[in-house]
Amino acid sequence: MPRPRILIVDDIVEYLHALQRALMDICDVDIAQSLEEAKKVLSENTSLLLVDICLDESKPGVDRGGVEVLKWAKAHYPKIPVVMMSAYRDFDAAVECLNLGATKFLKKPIDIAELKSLVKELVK
Amino acid sequence: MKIVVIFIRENTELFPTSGQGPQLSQVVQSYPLQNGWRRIQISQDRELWIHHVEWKPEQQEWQYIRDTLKSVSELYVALHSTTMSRLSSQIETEFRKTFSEAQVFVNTFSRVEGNDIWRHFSDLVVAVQNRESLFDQVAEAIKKKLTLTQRLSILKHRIAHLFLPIDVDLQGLIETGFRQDYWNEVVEAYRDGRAVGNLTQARQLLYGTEGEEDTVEKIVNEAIRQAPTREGEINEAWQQVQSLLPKNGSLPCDYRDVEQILRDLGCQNKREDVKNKCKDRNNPFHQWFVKLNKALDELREALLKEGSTGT
Repeated sequence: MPRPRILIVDDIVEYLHALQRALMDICDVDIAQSLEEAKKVLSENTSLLLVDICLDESKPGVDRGGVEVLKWAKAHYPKIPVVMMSAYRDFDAAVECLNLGATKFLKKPIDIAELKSLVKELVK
Repeated sequence: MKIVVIFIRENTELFPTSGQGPQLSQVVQSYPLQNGWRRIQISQDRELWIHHVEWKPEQQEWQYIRDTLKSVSELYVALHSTTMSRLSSQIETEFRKTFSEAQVFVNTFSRVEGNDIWRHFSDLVVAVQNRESLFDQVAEAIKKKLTLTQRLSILKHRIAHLFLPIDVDLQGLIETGFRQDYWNEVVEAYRDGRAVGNLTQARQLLYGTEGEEDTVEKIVNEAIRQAPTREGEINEAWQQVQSLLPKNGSLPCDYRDVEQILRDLGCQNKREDVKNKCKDRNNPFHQWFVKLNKALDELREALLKEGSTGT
């Protein structure tokens, strides 16, 4: 079985690099900071997408750039599971994402052991 | 003249050197400098004014704008959030006082991708068509003031920005038993005391100093001014935040190791020390960070409860 490949989309580049380091032993990790970047990287070879809801640092809690990534991914690659994350306790956003086809919604700070288990489970 | 939009930045490098920056800079600099201002006529009643050198409100630039815009009816002022923060309240007051007959909207902007003011402004400067409509989009973006809770969200996001990567790295290190190659990468990422320096930056975002950028303390004070009857509840939530990251002095007893862990993260020879501190105390950094996040969430909820404080 080929090594799984996941794409993480978040506006904090240092966070992307830290997640890349943390997940490197179980999968290959691509990173993107916006929908445009995600479009370039996402492919049939992607096993899982992990997306922060807010992709604009000037509008945390308001911006829903990650939801656009989710919509685009579901329209073009419906089989790829999408896990959403957010630093906010935003019930409405979580429901909206799940209705749009997200598999799970994680609240930051993320528990890395839990994330690793989730990745292993979803890329099976 | 119906509308004038003014961008002010206390720095000669108004535009970034990457992306669209050089093109914007070229276009703006093709307009002659008039008493410190570059004026771009958009249509008969719309004009864009740009100021991008050191702003000295008492000098001739101020006189020029006062004389030229006497009959303006709508005035939209956008101030660059970082470089103009020191003068922003003074400038806002001056504009409102001087143009008391006009509708004056003042807001701040940053040059991050997705910032509406910056995005529409950049599009407008280089546009050859639909300039009126783009101009109105800039004006609309300036009009949209952030609420107190939105301002708090921005600061919380910045604090998270400082600590989320460290949180992931420490958890990842613990997961792998502080594997040497992993440790090497983490040391490289936080060399030169970057991790412990983030504590100072976080304190700056909470307390800052007078006259500088937005801080959580300023938001709390404004919220209490707007809703004095709820001072106790707002203060209680604010004190919880303060207790986790005090303005002066060390972190609380339970999290005394956190500062040392952050200090040691950039040091190659401190792997065992960090490992032991994380093991003995069950990752005190993660516990502290989760509590700080929770306290900031509770403060936001305390502000949200009162309708008027959200505005």
